[in-house]
Amino acid sequence: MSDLEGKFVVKDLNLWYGDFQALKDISMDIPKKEVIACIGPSGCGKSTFLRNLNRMNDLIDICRWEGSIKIDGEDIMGDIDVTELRTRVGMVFQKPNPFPMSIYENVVYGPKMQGLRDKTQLAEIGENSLKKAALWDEVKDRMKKSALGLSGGQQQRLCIARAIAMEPEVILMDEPTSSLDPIATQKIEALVEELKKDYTIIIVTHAMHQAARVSDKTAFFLLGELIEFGETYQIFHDPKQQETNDYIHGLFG
Amino acid sequence: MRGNVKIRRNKDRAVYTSMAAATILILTVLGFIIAYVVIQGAPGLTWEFLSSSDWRVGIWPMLLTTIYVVIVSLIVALPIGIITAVYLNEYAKNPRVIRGLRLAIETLAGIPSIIYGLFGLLVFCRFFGFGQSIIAGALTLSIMILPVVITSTEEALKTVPMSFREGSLALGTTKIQTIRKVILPSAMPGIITAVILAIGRVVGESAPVLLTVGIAKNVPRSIMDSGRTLTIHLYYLTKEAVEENAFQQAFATATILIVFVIIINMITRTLSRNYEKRMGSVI
Amino acid sequence: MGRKQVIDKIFRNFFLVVSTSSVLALIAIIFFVFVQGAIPFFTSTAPSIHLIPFGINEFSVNSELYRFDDLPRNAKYVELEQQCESYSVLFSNNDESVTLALEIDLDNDVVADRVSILSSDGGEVDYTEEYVYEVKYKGTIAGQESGFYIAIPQTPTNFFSEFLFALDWRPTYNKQYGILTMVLATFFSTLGAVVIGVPMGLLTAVFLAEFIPKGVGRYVRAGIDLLAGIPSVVYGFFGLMMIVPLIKKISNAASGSGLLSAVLILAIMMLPTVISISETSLRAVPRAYREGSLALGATKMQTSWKVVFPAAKSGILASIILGTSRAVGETMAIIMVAGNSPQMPGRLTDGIRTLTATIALEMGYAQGRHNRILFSVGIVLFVMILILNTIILVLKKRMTEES
Repeated sequence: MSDLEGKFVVKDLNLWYGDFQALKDISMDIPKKEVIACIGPSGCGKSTFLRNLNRMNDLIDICRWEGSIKIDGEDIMGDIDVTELRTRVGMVFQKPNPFPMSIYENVVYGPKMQGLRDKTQLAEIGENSLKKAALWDEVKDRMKKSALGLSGGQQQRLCIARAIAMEPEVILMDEPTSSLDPIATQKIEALVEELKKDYTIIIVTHAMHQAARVSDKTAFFLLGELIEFGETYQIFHDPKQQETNDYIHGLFG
Repeated sequence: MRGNVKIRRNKDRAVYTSMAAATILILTVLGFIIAYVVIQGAPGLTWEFLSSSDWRVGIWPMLLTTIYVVIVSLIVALPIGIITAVYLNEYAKNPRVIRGLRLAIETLAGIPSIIYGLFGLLVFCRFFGFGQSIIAGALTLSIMILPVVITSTEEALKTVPMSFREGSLALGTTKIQTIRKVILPSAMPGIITAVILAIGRVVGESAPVLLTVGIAKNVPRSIMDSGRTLTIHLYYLTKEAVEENAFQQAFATATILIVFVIIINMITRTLSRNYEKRMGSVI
Repeated sequence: MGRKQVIDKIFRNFFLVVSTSSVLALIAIIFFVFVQGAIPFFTSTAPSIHLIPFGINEFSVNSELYRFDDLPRNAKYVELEQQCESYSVLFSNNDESVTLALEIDLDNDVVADRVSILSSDGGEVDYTEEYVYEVKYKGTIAGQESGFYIAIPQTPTNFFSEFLFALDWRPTYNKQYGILTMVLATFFSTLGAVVIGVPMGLLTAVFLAEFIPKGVGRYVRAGIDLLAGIPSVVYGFFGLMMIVPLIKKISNAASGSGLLSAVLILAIMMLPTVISISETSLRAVPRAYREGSLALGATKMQTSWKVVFPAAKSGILASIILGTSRAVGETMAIIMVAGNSPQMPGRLTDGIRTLTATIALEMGYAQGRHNRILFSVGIVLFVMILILNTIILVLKKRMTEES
């Protein structure tokens, strides 16, 4: 690894929804420009963990957390503005959620909200992002059409393009293929492979083979605890923990 | 691209301020209207004012007319409205029938009240020969409040869980028994809300009442008599202002109307809150 | 089929029959108002000229005798058939026999010339009112006059040139029924209310849906509901006592009753509609849109206005239109503050009279065609509202398709 210091350094993260503790003492160093997969049975806290990295959990009133999360050494609760944090840490959701506007408006939404007005610059950003998201060829002739007319897989790639347009450092993906068909899933996975050259990608998935296919490192969560975090090959072939082994072999989940 | 957190924050703050200002302004207007009317009207609310049959001194004839209009229009509108709601929610299957009924109800809800007045005048006053009378006005208003009764009853019926219906039907009861013994009782708070909303609507209505009930200031002897509701009385007090104390009476009448609306709002609020709580514990 | 099924079936059909009453009511309303309002544009007020006596109970027309002792008032007239062109009316007044000679030409373009009174035997002939001649004689008792009204039938009013696009509303003596000023008054007062009420309402709606501190929202919403419940006469009363004098003071106009007062009152009255329906549709916007926008680094404010607001646009538009139709249909509050003179609104302080106000103000005394014309005014109002309603229905359909 060229860069030993992690992109994200999470230390002693505890998180509660009301009285329910959803995350327990999570500590984790997330390296740069790799694909990290978070796996575990549903309700294990993997999505909650992901959403905490760009403070999306702020939206949930009953949610509170303690511990420290640092991005490039900067505390995400510190001086950094939450909107700035989110421009640096993009996110793609479980269900594709393009806005009910044109494809073009969707992809340039982020830069526009940052105050970018220049039309040619915006068009350029839009084109580049769509190219990076491998969607450009499919939509270049219908940029003014509503994004809701795209297929599910296209919508999800549009959401990825929308995130890329912000030139983020990290892209969080929360089960990005769970609502897609196999072919669309395959395209997204290929895209993730491509994108890790430029971005750190953290992907939550409940499909284990997907984690095995796309990720460099894998984190296994169970009941709010981080059971094991290591090289994907090692997690899937030689897990150190009994629970990981059981999960990998389908004993529960 | 990212160095403008401050600019955005200032912009946001400006918009926030204007939104809060609009909200506060609206509430201030509301508070001002209520305070302005009630402060000047409350001293006039004496027992004599409420109970005197002499229109120069009191508003007993108007109270009575209003009560008559409310009662008669409810007697007509409630059964029809509730049955329509039950039909729409429990029986109707043919989508064309449902769509037709809904279209009619929505259109009725959108018709301005003065048109109801024209219709009532033509049909109930002239065609049926009731003349300007409480019955003509009440019949007119009963059509007007139908949409209110139907939609709020339907909303109440929708909150009755499917399991109630299935549970009752599984015991071998007929559908109508299920409706009578299970569905309507559990939708009762919603139906009461519908009734109260309808009462509020009838009491506050003026234009169709002016055309159909008339402006007679005497105590109505029967529902075939013309009469003057509180709203029309308020209008005529300011329009004619013949008596010296007309404006004081107008303030007092307006106060009664406002207090009435506040009470109605409070009751419906409490009802729906309790109802939500109860249904919450059932589901 | 068992007994229970029979009972169920009976009730089912009974419920269906009762349910159709709202459909029937709607059809009846449309039918009666439209038929009554359409009559002036298609038929004459009477098939022929009417001779209406007053203070005279016995007379003869072309030697045919008429006695009107115990007929109801509105049946006391004689129709002068058109086949015959000249008539002589004979009766006795102050024990003298009097002859009134008439000539009739219903095809004459000038209304007043359709009847020519050849000789009146001392009677005083007057044409004070359009379409009506009056022939008066000194009666037996001093001060009480007797004589005849000769009512010329009014030909059908032209819907466009004499009604919708005509300027003059002089319904009693001149029989002029132009409602253009009222259409414009309704239009301008509604437009003004929209211009003021909609921005305020939408700002408040977004504030309520997205930003209001928890705990406060409940009370604000209660206030908005209260605003919706206050009867329109109370608004009118408040406007009359508060806004009208204020405008008079500020503008130095002769009266504060007029367009501006109407606009302000209507704006307040449409607020609750705009706010509550907009708020509901803003709340219905899926959470995913909000999250998507926030995750892109947009602020909450940007998210609310750039994503949530456009996503709720059908509902917001519907709320605006519904508020507009409330304003168009509002009657009593307007009557109390608008001044009610049927003239072209020029300045903000000019008195205006809306379509609704005309109906409510004149229905009490309108006779004959004037009365029917008020129903025609109702049709115009009705059509306006139906158009607005249709737009709402289309929007609603779009809303359900979107979600």
